[in-house]
Amino acid sequence: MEKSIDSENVPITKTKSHYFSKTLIKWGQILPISIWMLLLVVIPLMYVLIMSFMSRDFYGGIVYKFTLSNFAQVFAGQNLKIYAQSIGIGAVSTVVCLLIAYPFAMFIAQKGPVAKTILMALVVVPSVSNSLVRLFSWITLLRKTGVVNTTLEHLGIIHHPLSMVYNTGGIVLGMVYLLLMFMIIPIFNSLDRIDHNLIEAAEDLGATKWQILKEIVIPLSKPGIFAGCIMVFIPSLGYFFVSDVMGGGTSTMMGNLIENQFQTSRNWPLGSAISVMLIVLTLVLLVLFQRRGGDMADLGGR
Amino acid sequence: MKEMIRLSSIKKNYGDVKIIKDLNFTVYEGEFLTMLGPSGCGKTTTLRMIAGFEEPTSGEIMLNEKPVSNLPPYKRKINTVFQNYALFPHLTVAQNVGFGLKMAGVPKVKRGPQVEKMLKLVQLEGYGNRKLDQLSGGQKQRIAIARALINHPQVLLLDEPLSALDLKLRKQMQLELKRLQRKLGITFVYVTHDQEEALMMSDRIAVMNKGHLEQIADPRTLYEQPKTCFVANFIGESNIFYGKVSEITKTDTKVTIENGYLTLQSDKPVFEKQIVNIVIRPEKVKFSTTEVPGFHIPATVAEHYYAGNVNKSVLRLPNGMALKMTSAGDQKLPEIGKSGFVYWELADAILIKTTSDDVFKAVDNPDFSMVNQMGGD
Repeated sequence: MEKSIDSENVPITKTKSHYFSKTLIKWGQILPISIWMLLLVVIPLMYVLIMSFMSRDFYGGIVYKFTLSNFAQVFAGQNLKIYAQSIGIGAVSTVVCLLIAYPFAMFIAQKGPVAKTILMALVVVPSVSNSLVRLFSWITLLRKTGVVNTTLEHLGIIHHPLSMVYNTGGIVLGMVYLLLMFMIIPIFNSLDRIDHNLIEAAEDLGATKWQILKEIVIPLSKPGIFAGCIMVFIPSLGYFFVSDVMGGGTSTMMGNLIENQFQTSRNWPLGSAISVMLIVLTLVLLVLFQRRGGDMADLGGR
Repeated sequence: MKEMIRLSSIKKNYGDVKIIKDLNFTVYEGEFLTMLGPSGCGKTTTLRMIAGFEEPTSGEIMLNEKPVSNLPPYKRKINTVFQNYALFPHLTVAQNVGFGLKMAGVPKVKRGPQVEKMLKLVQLEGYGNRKLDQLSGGQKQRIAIARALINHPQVLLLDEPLSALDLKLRKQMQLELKRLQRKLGITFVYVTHDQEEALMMSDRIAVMNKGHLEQIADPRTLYEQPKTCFVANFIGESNIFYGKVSEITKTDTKVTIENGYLTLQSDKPVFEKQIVNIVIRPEKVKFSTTEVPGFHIPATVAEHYYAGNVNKSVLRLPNGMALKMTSAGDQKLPEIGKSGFVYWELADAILIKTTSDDVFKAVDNPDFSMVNQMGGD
């Protein structure tokens, strides 16, 4: 009898305090990130969204009056040319990244578990240093008086320095260099997930190495390819500093256009409107990705 | 009978680990041969060498009397049904089944009717346009079989193809596979660790243990005349005695076991002082409360287990050994604790001549010592 009285009283208090401590832990766990997200993501994004519908006075001051004229300006003639140029550079960078990343990811995916971990770590390691510093080191190497040109001239292979940076090619080089890892990771993940039995089954049914690649490996790694393309293409539209450093201001990209609205032109509403369009474009691509059966976890890395 | 596959002196090492140690056997045309053994016995490795996914370290594999050890899988007229089906998830049922034809360059128009014919063979007509995630496990298994058969292989290899299915479906698929094999007349080489499955389906069974062949024979011979204690113990249930031949007379042979002796038929080819194992199947053991003429050992009834069609009993011998006995389920059983005598027809005792590395003692076998414990005191 004593036992049953005990077991009736104790669990209730226990459950109550248990419930409170559990709730406390739960809030304790999500509160810091919630405040962080609210302050640094939600509020700025809302600000940009609101700003994109605001008017502007002659000196660039913001007038809190609703207007759609910013969005009309987004599609103005001279801007369309910049978008086309950005999308072109973004697309070329994406294709170059894909052509480099796919064979490399396949090479890593065929390694043993230890080699895989080491190689994938090496892919990520450069990103711990500042990307601007890394871009400037390319300049040091490739500019007209840079290490590569001087060496080649000394060796007598060339007589006039090659222009390797401060042009569109330089921008693409910068983009590929900074974004390659975002192509390698999702492609590697999708290749690594392919069941080796499927390769053997295809081999058993008479497929040659090329047929296995075409019929099995590439189709099964499509989600990774698509994820990688999104992860490279979208940032490439916004990485204005790549064009600043590597392009030497020769071509203006979408990111530069936005940057200019906020700094030089003092047209914050227009800058915001272009930013909103970029966010919408990103969302559209993400929805397409998910519709095609892509895994959102591929985009977030692991 | 025409020879289809021959393995001669096959050895396979992974680094220093010897997976297969000198394997020799022949598979005949149209035969259903099963490689049976516990996990890690090398049966799957052997199958993979026949398929061409692994190369033997030494030895030769002959297909149709031609060496194939160094040929890639697609150059052998052999196809495989994989353990987890290994169906291509991005393709439809028809595309999966027709994959082999597509690789061989058969145009799409010609593939259709052949795919449909194969689907009919595995009783999945009209399923061609389905996606794989719309299929059950049993249906996926049939698709895998249809896919492997479409290129008309001379040999079909099956690596534990039914292990992922539930018991009822597995039983049904066993019968279906056997029927399919008879109908097509293709040589099947089947791998399983399930002895009942092997006994039911196979023309012959190759029992493997620790990388070597223990015995290859038809199911009845394996059960009735096991050559090694491993086979006796792995296939069906056994009582295995360990003893020494002590006396050979004209009428019978006496084998001394711990605290007693057993009698063997006099025609068994043994010599005095030979160490032997004697196997007696539980269903051959009989119990009587009154003394019977001829060979018998005193015993006490220790446990009964009712298993529907049969009763399983444990009898304790004077030396403490537990003896398994099965009797018909409807038979009346003696009370637990009752003393009496166990006996069997002398002809039912199976003699296994023991070699130094195949001595079987009760303690070697966890199953057996478990029964000993269950007997209790």
